[in-house]
Amino acid sequence: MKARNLIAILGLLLLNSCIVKSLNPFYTKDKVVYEEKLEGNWKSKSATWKIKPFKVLMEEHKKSGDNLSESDKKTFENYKDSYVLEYTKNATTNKIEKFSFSYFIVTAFKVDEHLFLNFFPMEYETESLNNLVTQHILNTHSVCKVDFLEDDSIKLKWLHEDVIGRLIESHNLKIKYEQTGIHNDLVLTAKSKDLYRFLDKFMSSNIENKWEKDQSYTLVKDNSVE
Amino acid sequence: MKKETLRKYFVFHLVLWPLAFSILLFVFTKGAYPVKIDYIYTLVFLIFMAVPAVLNFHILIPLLLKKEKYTYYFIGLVGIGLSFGVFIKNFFVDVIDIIFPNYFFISYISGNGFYLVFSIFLLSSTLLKLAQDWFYFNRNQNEILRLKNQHIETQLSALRSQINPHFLFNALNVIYSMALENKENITSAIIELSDILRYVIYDTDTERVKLKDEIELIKNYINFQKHRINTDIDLEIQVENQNFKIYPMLLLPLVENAYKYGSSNTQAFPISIKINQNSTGFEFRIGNNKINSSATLEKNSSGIGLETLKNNLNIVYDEKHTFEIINSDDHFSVKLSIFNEQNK
Repeated sequence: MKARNLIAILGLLLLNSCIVKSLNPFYTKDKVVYEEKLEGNWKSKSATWKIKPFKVLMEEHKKSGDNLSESDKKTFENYKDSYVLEYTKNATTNKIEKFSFSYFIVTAFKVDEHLFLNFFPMEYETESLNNLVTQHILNTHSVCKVDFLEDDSIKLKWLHEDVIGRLIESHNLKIKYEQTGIHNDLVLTAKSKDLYRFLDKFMSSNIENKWEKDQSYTLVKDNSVE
Repeated sequence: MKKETLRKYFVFHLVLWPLAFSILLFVFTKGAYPVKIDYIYTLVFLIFMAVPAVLNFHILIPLLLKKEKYTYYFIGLVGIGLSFGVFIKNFFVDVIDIIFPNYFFISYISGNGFYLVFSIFLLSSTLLKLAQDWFYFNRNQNEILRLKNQHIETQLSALRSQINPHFLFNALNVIYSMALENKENITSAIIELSDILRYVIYDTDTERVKLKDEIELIKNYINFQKHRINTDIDLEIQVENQNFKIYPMLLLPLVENAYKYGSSNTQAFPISIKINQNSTGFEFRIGNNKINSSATLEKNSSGIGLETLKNNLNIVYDEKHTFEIINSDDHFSVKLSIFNEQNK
């Protein structure tokens, strides 16, 4: 896979900077699961989602004759149970159509009986951002809850910044975070163990509006794509 | 529980827990301005720590530490520390999450941080308890010392009050004798007695006096006695430090005794007096032959001087002196040694 400039595209592509971002993954290694039902091609209202096991991608990489570097081997070991998501935004009149596709490392993990996905941008294609800009952009993690619906579709609901912001402002949450940028975007800096513990408690709490509707996506199987 | 013990108990806990709460709050908020969730976390954490701390204060310390069973105390403290440390580490988070389901205590201490904070708290609170005990112990000791000093002062004061009339009684006897004999120099004798009394009454009411003043007193006394009887006095003085300090009125009773038992109205044996002071201490020797060999020291109705002197020496110099009396049928001598002490 050709290395390219990376940016934190979650906000641009998915949620317009409203999801909760973190410097560390939301899972610990012992909670990672592999959910076969996630594999395949999916589509939402405005995008297509191709989800492949990360290890398949690495095998393809090997078959192509390229030798794996030490760094690649380490990455493979870290994400052997993860997926690679190829996210392609449908062409619209919006400027965002310029970002034709992007890749994420997606890791599934369980919190009690709930399935979550940790998203981490891996690569994206852009011609509109210059090199200096991309060097100022930091990749972050986000997390969404997965619900398998009866019609074989899946629903992804992202953890919203407003929910965490409210908890912090009401002094009901003590977690390490920083606010950065001209809009004081919230970035969690807590360790993965603490982030996981937060999700665990979050799921068992009776907080209202845990999952904001406008930050959810319903994916249905897309059989039109090979 | 006694009222004083109860008061100490409340004072200690009134200091400990607010102090511990403040420090832990500072630790948990990492110096930032504490908010509601920080107060809750600190309070619950402190409640968890209260059990081992109270066990330490009211069982381990009184039963083991205060009875000098240090090894058992150390084992007990480590035992409590480990068992409650493990308990707090494993259950504190679960318990606080159950009690406060809508609070998220995420970025506080975890893992070995529990052991660290718990150990520091247990040790600090133990030291605070020991400091409090030491404070009260020290206060009691000072009170005991004050009472003891007061008692000694009372004793010494009583002993001094015995000396003064004793000396005065003897001196008046001398003046009386001179008056009977119509001696011309009775006026100078009265002046000399006046000098002696001035010293005895005004200058000796202190803890220590200079050796040279005591020697001057003896010389005055000898001069005064010459009005009564002409006794050969062999006075040998070797003093390195004239300002060497001793307890007042130690020497005069011994000189008085020598005059009393070494002379009569018509006859007097020589009296030998040696005063020696150097870097090792002070030594006073006095000796004379007895006029009346059947006289028994101290059994005499007026012979309270030596006994008083012994009492004074035991109180003032305790182990730092020797007092030897050689009392044969015809000879009487005394040797007083005072080992060197820091001049007060």
